Amino acid sequence: MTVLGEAAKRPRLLVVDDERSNLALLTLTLRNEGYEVVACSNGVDAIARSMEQPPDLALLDIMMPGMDGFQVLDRMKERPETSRIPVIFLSGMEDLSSKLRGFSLGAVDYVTKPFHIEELRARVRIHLQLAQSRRAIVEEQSRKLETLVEAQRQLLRHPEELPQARFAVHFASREEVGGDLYDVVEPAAAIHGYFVADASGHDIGTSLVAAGARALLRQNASPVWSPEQTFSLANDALVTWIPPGKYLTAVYACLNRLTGHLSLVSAAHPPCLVLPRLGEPWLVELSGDVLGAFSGAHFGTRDIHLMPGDRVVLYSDGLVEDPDDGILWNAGLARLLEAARRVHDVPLADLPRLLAENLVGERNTDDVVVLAFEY
Amino acid sequence: MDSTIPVIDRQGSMERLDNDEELWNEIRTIWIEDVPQMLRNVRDALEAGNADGLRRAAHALKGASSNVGTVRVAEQARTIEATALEGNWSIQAEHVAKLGEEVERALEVLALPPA
Repeated sequence: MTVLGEAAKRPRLLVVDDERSNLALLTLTLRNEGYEVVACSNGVDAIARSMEQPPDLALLDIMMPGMDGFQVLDRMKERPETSRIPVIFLSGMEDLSSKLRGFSLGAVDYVTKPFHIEELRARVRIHLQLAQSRRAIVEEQSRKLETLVEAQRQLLRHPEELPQARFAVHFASREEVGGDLYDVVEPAAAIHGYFVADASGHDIGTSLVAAGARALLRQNASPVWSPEQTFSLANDALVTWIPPGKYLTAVYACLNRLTGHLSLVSAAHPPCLVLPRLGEPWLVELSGDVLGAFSGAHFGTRDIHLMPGDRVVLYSDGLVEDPDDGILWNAGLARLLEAARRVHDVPLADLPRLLAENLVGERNTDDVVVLAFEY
Repeated sequence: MDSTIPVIDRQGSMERLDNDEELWNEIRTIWIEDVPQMLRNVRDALEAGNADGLRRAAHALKGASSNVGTVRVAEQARTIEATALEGNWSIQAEHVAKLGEEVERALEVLALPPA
C-alpha cells in the first residue's frame, strides 16, 4: 500500500560523471522523465551528496579522476544510510572483469557507454521499481512482526487479572522480536506458578520460541506434575519443533499458598532472588540444562519454605549482565544483592521496576523482565 | 583508420538520443566548448610521458565524442586509450597528431548548420 504523499514524491537520482557532456546527457534525459536529479562531477561530491540526502538510485561512472566509481560504491556500502541505494555503473569500459567487479561490489546493473537513452530510462525505471518492491516487502514483514509482537503482549498476564497471585512485573523489550517472556498461572486454587524465560537470539524465530514455550508451560502446569516434570514435558515437546541453534533458559517457581512451600526448577537460568520479610536477601542458585536443546535434559531443583511477607524475584539475565561493560553473572549478582537491600521495604508493585532502574538504569542493552511475587 | 567512417554519425547519435534534437544540440555545444581542453589534456600527457594520464585523457575524449557522434575522433581516441600503456611514444605522437586533425575536421562539420 502506498500513501498518496509517497506516490507523489519524485524519485531522486544521483548521477556521477566527470565528463561534462555525459553528465548533461544523463541529467537532461532523466529530468525529462520527471526525476529529481542531483549531478556530481566527482566521487567525493557524490559521497557527500548521498550522505546529505540519500537518493533512490545512483548512476556512477567508473573511470573518474581521484576517486573512481568502484571506490565510491565501496564507500556507499560501508554506511547504513547509503548501503541500500541501488547503483548502476556507467562506463565505456566493455571488459567483463570491470563489469564483474562492479557486480561483486554490489552494483545492481551496468550500462555501457555510449548508451541509448531509451535503454537508460528503462533500466532506471526497473531498478526503481525493484527497490520499491523490496521496501514494500520489508514493510509488510515488519507489519506482520508487529502484529505478532502485539499478540504476544496481549497474552501477557497483568497483576490485576490474577490479584490472588500477588505479583508485579517489569517488562522492557529492546527489540520488536525479543526473547524474554514471563507468565503467571494458577494450576489449582491457592497454587500459583511463576515463569520467566529467555530465548536465545533476537529474531522472529526467538519470538516464536518464546511464545511456544509459554503455551507449553500453560498446558503442562498442573498439580498432577511436579515443576520439574512440567519442565521435562515442555522440553521434550520443544525439541521436536524448535529451530536448530535455538534454546531457552528458564525458571519456574510454584508456590503453594496454603503451606508456603515453594518449588523451584531452573533450566540454566540466573539464580532466583529471595527477599525475606525479616532478614537478608539471598540467592537460590540452581544448575540444569537449557530448555529445548535436547530431550532428556536435567534441570536444577530446590524446595524452600516461605514465611508470610517473603518475596521472591525471578528475572532474565539482562538485569545482571552487561556484555558491553563485560559485566557477567557473578559481578552482576553482587550488585543485585546490594540493590535488593536498597529496595527491601518498597511496595511489591514498585519492586520490579525499582530493581531494574537500580541495576539497568538507562543502559537498556537487552530485554529485561523482572517478576516479583509475595507469599 | 577506415576511410568509410564518417566525421559525424549524426543518425546513430540521434537514435541513441531518441531523436531528441534539443538534447543533441545541448551536448554538441558542450563538446565544442570542451574539446580544446580535452585535446590539450591528451597533448600534455604525451609531452609529460605520462602513459596513464594519456590513457585517461583519451578515454574522456572518447566518451564525449561517442555521445555527440564525432565517431572519427572517438575511434582515434579509442586507439590511444587502448595502446597508451604500451609506452611507445613515437607511435603515440603520431596518434595524437592524427587526433588533432580529426578534432579540427569534426569542429568544422559541427559548426555547419544541420543538413
